[in-house]
Amino acid sequence: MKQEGGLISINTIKFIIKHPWLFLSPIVIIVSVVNAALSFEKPVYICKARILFEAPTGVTIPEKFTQSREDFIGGTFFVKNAVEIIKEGWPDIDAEKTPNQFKELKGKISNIKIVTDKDNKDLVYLSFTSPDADLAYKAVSATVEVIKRSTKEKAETEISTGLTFLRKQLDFYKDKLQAINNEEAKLRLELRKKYRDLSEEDKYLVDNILTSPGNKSTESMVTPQAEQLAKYEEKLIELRLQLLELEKQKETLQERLKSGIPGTTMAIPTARDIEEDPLVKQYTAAIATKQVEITSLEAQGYLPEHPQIQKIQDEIEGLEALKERRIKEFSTTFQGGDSRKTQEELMKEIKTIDYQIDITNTKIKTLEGYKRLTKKEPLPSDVGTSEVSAQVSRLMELANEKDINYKYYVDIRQQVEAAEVKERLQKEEASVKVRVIDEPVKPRNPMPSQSAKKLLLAFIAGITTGVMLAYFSDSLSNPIHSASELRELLQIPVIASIDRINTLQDIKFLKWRRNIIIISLISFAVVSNIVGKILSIFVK
Amino acid sequence: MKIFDKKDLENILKGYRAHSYVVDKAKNEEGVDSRIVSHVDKGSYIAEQYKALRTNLYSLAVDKPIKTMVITSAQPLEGKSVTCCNLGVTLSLDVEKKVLLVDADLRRPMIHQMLGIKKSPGFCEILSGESDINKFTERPAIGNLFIIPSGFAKGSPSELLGSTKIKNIINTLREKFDYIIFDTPPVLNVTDATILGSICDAVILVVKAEVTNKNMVEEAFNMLAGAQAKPRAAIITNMYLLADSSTYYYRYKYYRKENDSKET
Repeated sequence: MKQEGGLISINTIKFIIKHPWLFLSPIVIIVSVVNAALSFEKPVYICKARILFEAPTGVTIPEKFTQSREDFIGGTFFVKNAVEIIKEGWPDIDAEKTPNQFKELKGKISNIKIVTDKDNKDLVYLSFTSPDADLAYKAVSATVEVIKRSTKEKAETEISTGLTFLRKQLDFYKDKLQAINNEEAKLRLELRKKYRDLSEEDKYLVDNILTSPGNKSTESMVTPQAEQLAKYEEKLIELRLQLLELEKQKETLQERLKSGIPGTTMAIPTARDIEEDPLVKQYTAAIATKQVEITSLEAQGYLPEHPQIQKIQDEIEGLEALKERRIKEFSTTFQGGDSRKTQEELMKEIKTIDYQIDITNTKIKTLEGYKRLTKKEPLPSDVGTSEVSAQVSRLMELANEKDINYKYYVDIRQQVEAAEVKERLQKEEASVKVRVIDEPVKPRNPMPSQSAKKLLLAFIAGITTGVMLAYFSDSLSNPIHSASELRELLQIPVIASIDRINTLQDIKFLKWRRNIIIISLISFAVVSNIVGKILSIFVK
Repeated sequence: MKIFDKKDLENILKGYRAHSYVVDKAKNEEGVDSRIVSHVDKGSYIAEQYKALRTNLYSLAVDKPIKTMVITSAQPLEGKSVTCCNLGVTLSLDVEKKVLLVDADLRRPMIHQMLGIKKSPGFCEILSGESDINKFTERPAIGNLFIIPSGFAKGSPSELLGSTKIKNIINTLREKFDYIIFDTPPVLNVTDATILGSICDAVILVVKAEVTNKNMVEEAFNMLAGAQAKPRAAIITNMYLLADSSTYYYRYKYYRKENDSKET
């Protein structure tokens, strides 16, 4: 039975010892053929260069920049476009002008090696091997040139792209704001022209819009919408309080008128008298503060049903009750002053108060309309029907638009400023230099030949082939090797193992055969080498 | 045996040191072939190997006595005749035993050449009745060994060996000799060995190491077994680079040196 497994079967070794020529022949043949083939090898020149990417002191090379450089060096970009890149740095090389060099370059393009140093990523080694020393030198020089150029171009392009876009956006908003301002100015001028002919209500509207923050300079008139609304609300509260005061004064006067005797003088405190009372003043101030608190909460988005607002409302109601009680006390205990008036005077005063109430109501309505416009709510049917109302509404819309656009404008202007700073920094970073530490030099001597390495490989290949041959020959012949094998095969005792007896004739024959083989192998080696040399001369 | 590591390889190379027995002359002064080591170089380790063969043969004969034996092989040039001669000489060293060597290879006889005797008259003549058997049994040819050479075959050797007369001849020889060795042609070539094997006590198959193919050995064995001549033992020759034999050789050399020094 054939033994299997192990590194090599003992029978194979025995076979090799028995038939050494079978083992040696492949070694001699392969080594001789490789040696002959080496004669055809042309001397190869190598051109090298070393490049260092260096930044100014204190400026780190950005990661993005480093990454792009690595892509350039090790990526497919270089492999795919190597010829084009070299052509870029060496325009003279051409398929028509320098066909041989161009062909050689295309054929050996994979010989371009660009390797980053293991310890220092900024250090890059370039090399090109070619039988043409001039080609090697020019290819490396061109590559160095292109690397330098590409690095600079890439940095500049990246910086300017973002800033240009931002500047365009800024111009857009600037133009838009200008257009809004022009339209606004035109409308305001028109309103001023026809101001005299306007009704009281329209005049009030126009007054409001012309004295509103929108009438101020472009920058100051633009305030956030919520702030504007809060201001309107504050004014509305003030007006409503005023209205309430007037109604109370009217009510007091009417009560006095009913209870008093016609034609007699009465000591009635005026609104001013009441306001100047320290306690009333205190209550009014407290109520106003609470009202402001509610307004600010509403401006923050709290609903009127919110518990906090409800609580303040309750406090206001309590304060108002206290204030009313105090006013009554004050009125009853009022002892004169300059307000002693007759019934006729009281009637006249009530009429004046009525007029003031009407005016206050109108003001309230106008402000509510103004507020709706700011919120972009639809106007009630009685507001903005007239041309003036439409113009006022348009002015309000313009103010709103201006507000929004200005916000964008300011935002983009800030971005542009930031980008400009960034650009300045990046320009500094872009000044990362590509310094050629070792300039490419035209090689004078060819590279040391790799013949020894190749011959060693051929020798190893020969040994492997020899062992394989011996193994297969032994496997195919399948002879009896030992007594144990024979015993196992026939299942009978092997009563003797007799060693080989060689006669002198046998030995002579073996020697003769060995010599023939040796001579043949040497002859083959010599002849193949000579033939190789001769042919290589013709080929070259 | 397999090689798995360096140690295995060292052991193998140590045990399998290359050596072989080399004879410097073709024949000695008596005209005997130098390969008949048991006669020419009695002190050699090869002669010792044949003595070991003799001992093993005695052991084999314990169960069933072996008086007549046929030495054959699967194919030619495997060392049958050399083995026959050496075995015959070794057995005949025992002076109490009468040993006869018959060259039954009537087609390519070798015994007469190896032992330097006349080819004829011989076995063919005995079979054809031209010669008397007693003529060969009167005195030994070499040492204590009696030899019947092949003679000149006048007809077909198979027919001569297949005749009824052969049994009578063998029976006659049995009475006169302790051991009768027949050197026969290869089994795969002719049927002579199978004919004789079926008549004799034992068939011994000679196999040449590193040369004889396993399939051929198996085929020869099966042919003999099919003709009621199943081999009882085998001899392997041409052993080269074998650990068993080489270690034996070194032990033998060492033993011999010791003996020589004692004698002196």
